[in-house]
This record gives sequence, structure tokens and C-alpha cells, in this order.
Amino acid sequence: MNGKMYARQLRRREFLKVAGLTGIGISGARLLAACAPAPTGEPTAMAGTTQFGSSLTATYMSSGTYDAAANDMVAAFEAEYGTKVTVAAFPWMGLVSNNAKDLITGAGNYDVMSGASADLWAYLEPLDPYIQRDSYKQSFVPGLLDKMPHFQGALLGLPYGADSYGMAIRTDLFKEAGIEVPEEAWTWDEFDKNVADLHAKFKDRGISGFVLAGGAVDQLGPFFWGRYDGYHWSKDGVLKHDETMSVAALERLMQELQSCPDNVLGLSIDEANAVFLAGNACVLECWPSFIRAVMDDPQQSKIAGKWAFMPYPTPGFDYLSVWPLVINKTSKNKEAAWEWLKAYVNEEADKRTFEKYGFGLAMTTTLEDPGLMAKHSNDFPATLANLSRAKVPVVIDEAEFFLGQVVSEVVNGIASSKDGIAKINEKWATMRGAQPEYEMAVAQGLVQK
Amino acid sequence: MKIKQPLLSETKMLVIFLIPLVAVLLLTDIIPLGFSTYLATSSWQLVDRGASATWVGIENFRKVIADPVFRGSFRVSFGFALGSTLVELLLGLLVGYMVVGESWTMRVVRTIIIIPMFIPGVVVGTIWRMMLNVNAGIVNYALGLIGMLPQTWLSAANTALPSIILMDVWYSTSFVIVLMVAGISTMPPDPVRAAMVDGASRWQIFRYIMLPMLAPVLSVAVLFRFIGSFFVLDHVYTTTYGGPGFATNAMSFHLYRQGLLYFNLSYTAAASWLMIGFALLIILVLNWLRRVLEHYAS
Repeated sequence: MNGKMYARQLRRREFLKVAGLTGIGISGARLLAACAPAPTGEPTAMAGTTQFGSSLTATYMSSGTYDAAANDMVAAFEAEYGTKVTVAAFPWMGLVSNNAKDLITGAGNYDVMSGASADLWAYLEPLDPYIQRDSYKQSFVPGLLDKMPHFQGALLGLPYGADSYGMAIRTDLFKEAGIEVPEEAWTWDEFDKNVADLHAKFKDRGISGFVLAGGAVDQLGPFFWGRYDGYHWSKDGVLKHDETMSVAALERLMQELQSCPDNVLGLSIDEANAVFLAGNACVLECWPSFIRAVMDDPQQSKIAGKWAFMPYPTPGFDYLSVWPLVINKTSKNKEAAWEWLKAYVNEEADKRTFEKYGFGLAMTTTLEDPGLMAKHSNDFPATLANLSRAKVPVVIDEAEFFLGQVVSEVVNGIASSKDGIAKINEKWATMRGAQPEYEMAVAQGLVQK
Repeated sequence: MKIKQPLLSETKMLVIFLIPLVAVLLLTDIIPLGFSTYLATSSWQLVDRGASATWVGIENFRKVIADPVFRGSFRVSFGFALGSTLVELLLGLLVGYMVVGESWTMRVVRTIIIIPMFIPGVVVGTIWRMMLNVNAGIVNYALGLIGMLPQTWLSAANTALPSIILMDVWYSTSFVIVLMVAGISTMPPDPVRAAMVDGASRWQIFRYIMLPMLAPVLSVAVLFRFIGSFFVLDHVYTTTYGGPGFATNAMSFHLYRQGLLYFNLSYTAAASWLMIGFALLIILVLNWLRRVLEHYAS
């Protein structure tokens, strides 16, 4: 072998050897550093705020409303408490997932959270000691606090963004049809008769009697429950529905679909709302908070001044949707977190967020405010009535979504009502129910007697 | 000249350089698969922080197989994979045959045809959801121009899955076209010339000469497309969300919900292993088919 070549090879080998060992050394050092325990969190005391930590993170659903309202508060909160606030906003699925992961792992990244599934309520900080210590008292809608997450009797969350399924109606068409706008809730029989009459009268003008989001699988469960007045848990502590009443509820829903547009089973929530806003339906079953802000906007609505909300028909389960603001038990800044809760959930904030962002209505002071009542006289009375009697679901998310899928099969003619209910009960019997939800079911009278 | 002996032998140097790769494989493949096996054979409620898992053997696999929703999702995924693969294969072969060539025009056409491949699946789903919208979609608008009634493409049980298959065909046929063009371009020209000299028609040349020679390429296309379609998630998530009913409740979507939304990790791990097993079976069958076809082609 040529001496020069061999010498070059030797130098190359030496270089590769040194480089390889250096690389392994660096990688090993980084691996060791990554395995080192994370530094423990503060709180480090700030001047004048020895009980608060230096930072606070609060999660909200990314919507341009809840998170925007939170961001509005940040500057004032930081100035008052010296705690740096981060508002972490995620789309709904991401919010549910991130909140759950943080609670399950105990990472404590989020001090304040918007919502947590019933499985995870054991990881939330009870609020009763804080409420009693600070004499925190607000004019919550009657019964609303009882429907917040509880664990072993302790309240875990404060409500914001309360909404329950409502019925928006065309007051002009009701008048033309000789139907009086009800102040008290109709029964479902009365509702069915009236929408059928409205449909018969106006369908030739391209206006359906009724419309709802028949294509939204996750909403079909609430529609079904609205018409179902039976139990949700058997007396043996198993998730179950009464078969006879369930079949009747499904049959009623399918009958009502006859008074809807032909494409009702393809309509999302926004599309169903659009049908009503375009003036093509007499009654809309909807989330009022999704549509209220635009109903009198002539740029987006052809029914300005010609609508109202009526009380949700009875009997049944008016579905309550309300965000609970909760504190993570592993938060290192619980005092700051509690102050944030108080700042976000109070009478003044409820009215402010309703006026600016269209959400709120967790407080009777908002719903009975003279100025707002004058502006929303066609809305607030029915909304307050609905919120007061609405109930929260008491089944796990998996069970609720499965219910929606089976109801979708039934309304699409894939399965009969009887087979659908049997399928639901059979599947639900294999699902674990959450103990806190059973307690909520007892409190709401949804357990078989 | 005194030659300095290397400190380590070449074999030992090789081992040292392989250590990082093995470490990465361990961290990203072996350990996760091992943990998945542990989950699949255990009963562990993730929400019970601190609770230990109980070994249950094959009980989770039994539960998964007995679950009618899982069996239904398998049928949906299999039907979707079969339908989309067949259409993509036929269409890809036909279009590939037509656009093969080195002219400037054909190159431009091929470039345009493969554009869908570069669009993220979620974007494709969103675009098609808007196109198939019952009230404002362009497809129903076009149908209205020829006097047809609008269809509830994504919300009717008999059209939801075919609509998603159509979407996947639009999205993935370009991959098959690329394979076909490559296969046709690299075929030896002599058999075709000989057939032409013997007076064979274009169809006879295609049927008896080109197609057998393309068979190995076709089997690769089938393998990739079937496995890719079987694991569909983004199309379902962005359009029908598994509905109406369970009509488009594909396996990946079902397991996504089970694992990431409901935290039923043991169920999800067991079901995932069943999916892997089925995919491996398909791969083995198609590989065997490819070897048979290669032998036949040679």
C-alpha cells in the first residue's frame, strides 16, 4: 500500500473515531439532561402578593368569544395581582384532550380550565372553602350551580356561557296562522300539531313548519333527549333508557321531520340556522347563543324583528350547555386561580360578555336587566325559563356520541326505533358510568325509580 | 515508518456508530410497540391516576372482536379500501396509458394531474365537504342546471361512503398514474414492436403484452393504495365524522375516538394490533401475488 494513502487513511480513521466519540458524548449528555427532574415550580413571592404565584395559565375554547373575553381581562388582572396570565385557547376537541391530559398526568401546566369530563372530577380543586372564605355570592340562574361538576358533594366549577336548546319562532307567521305565541311551554303534542299545521299552510311558499340540525350526529342525542322523559340510569346503576318511552321519543322526532325541509338530514347547525334566517322555516330548534346576535342584522337575516324564542316544550330533557371554570388540583397558584375565577364569573362580567360577545346568561341580573330586557323582550323570558329547567347530560361522552350515531341510523331509516333503542341499551350496559354523573343523575331525577 | 495501530477494531467502530440508530429504533419503535402490547394485554383505566394495570391476557382482544361497532368499522374500512383501490387502479391505468410520453404537452398534463397528491388530506376533505354541501355545494348546483334534484351526498346512508370513495379517488389516483407512467416508460419496446409487426391491434398489445408486463407495478400500486385506504381517517374526520349512523365509521376514526377522546387505551391497543395483523396479512398476500405475477411476466 502506498505510504501516503495509508497515512491519509489513518488520519481519516482517527478523525472518524474522535468525531464519533464526541457525538456519542454530546448525545449522552443531552439524554441525561432530558431525564433530569424538571425544576419545581414557583410560586416566587412578588412584592405585596406573597400568596400568589408569578404565573397563571387558563384554558378556553378558541372561539373569538370566551377566549377573547379572557384576554380582555389579562392586563387588569396582572396589574392588580402581579401574576402573569397566559390564556391558552384551543379548538373544542383540542381543549378537551389537553385538559384531560394535564389532569391525568398531573403535569399542572394549566391552573384554570374550561371544563373537564366527569371521569376527571376527582382531580379538580373543591371550591366551597374559597367560596365560604370570601363570601362569594352571585345571582346565578336558579339551579345552575347544582348542575356544575360536584365530587363527593363539593362544588368544583363556576358556570359561564350558559345556553340551553331553544325554539326560535316566526312571530309574523304564527300570527298569520292564528297561533298564539306561547308564554308557557307547550306540550310536545301541542308542538307537533302546531308545526304540522304551519307546514301545511306555508310549504307551498317554500317555508317549512320546522327545521333542526338533522345532519349533526352529535346533536341528535340532545334532540332525542328533548323528547324523552324517562330515566337515564337504571336502579341497578347501569346506563339505560326506558324502552317504551324511548321508542315514543324517536317516533315523535321522525314525525316532526315530516314538517322539515326535504334535506333536513343533511343540515349542520349553521345550515339549519341559515334556513331560519333566510325566512324558510317557521320554527327552529337551536342553540340560541349561536344565532341570537345575527337575527336582527339585516345583512345576515331576513327575519329581523319577526322572531322570538318560546319556552322549550315539555316533558323532556332540555339540554343545558354551560362551561364550568375549574381549578386544577395540582396547580401551584390556586389562590391566583381562584381570583381569576372570581374575575371571570361575576354579575358584571356576565353582562359585559353578553353585550360584547353574545355569551353569558349565567346570572339572573343579566336576564332581568331592564335595559337588556327592553332590547331582548322577545328572547329573555323564554331563555330564563329554559335555563332554569334545563339539565346536564349524565352519561359519559362515549355513550352520548353512540346515542347520536344510533339515532342517526333510525332517522335515516337504517334501523327501526325499537332496534335502535335495544342497540343503545345493549352497548350502554358494557360502558362504565362515572360515579359523579350518577350522583348528578340522582340530583336531577334521572335515575329509574 | 512505524504504523500506529487503531485503538478500536473496525467491527467495534461499526458497533459504536450503530448505537445511536439502535437507540432511536428502540425509542421510536420497539419500546412503543412493547408498551402497546402491554396495554393490549392489560386492563388499565387511564383516568385513575396511580392505579396499576391488571394483566388480562387476550380478554381485550376478545372484547374488541365481540364489539359490533368494531366489526362494523372493519366492514366500512374494508369496503372503502376495496372500492377506492379498484377505481383508482382502473382509472390510474387508463390515464397513465394515455399520458405516457416525453412531449412537452404530456409533461405539463402529468404535472397538473399529480397536483392533488400534494394537498394535505384535511384540506381535501374540507374542499369536498364544501363542494358536496347540500345547499351551497357546486355539485348540487351543477345538478340543478340539468334539472336534477339536490342530493344529500354526505348525510344519506347510501351516498355517504361512495362520496368519500370519490373524494379519495380524486386525491389518490395521481399516485397510481405516476406508477403506471413509470412502469410503461420502462417497459422494453421490443415485444410491443414485434406484436405490431405481427399485426396485433392496440387492444391486443395492451391486453396480452403490456398488461402482463405491468402486473408487478400494478400489484405494488394495489398494495400501497389498499393499505393507505384501509387506514383512512382524515377524509372521514373532515366530512361525515363517521355518520350518518355508522355508515362511514372507519376503523381509524373509531380507534381515534376510543383512544384519544375516551381514553379506552387497552381497547384501542388491542384493536390496533388486530389492524396491524390484518394489514400484515394483506401485505403477505399481495407480495405473494406480486412474485407470481413477476414470474408470469418474465
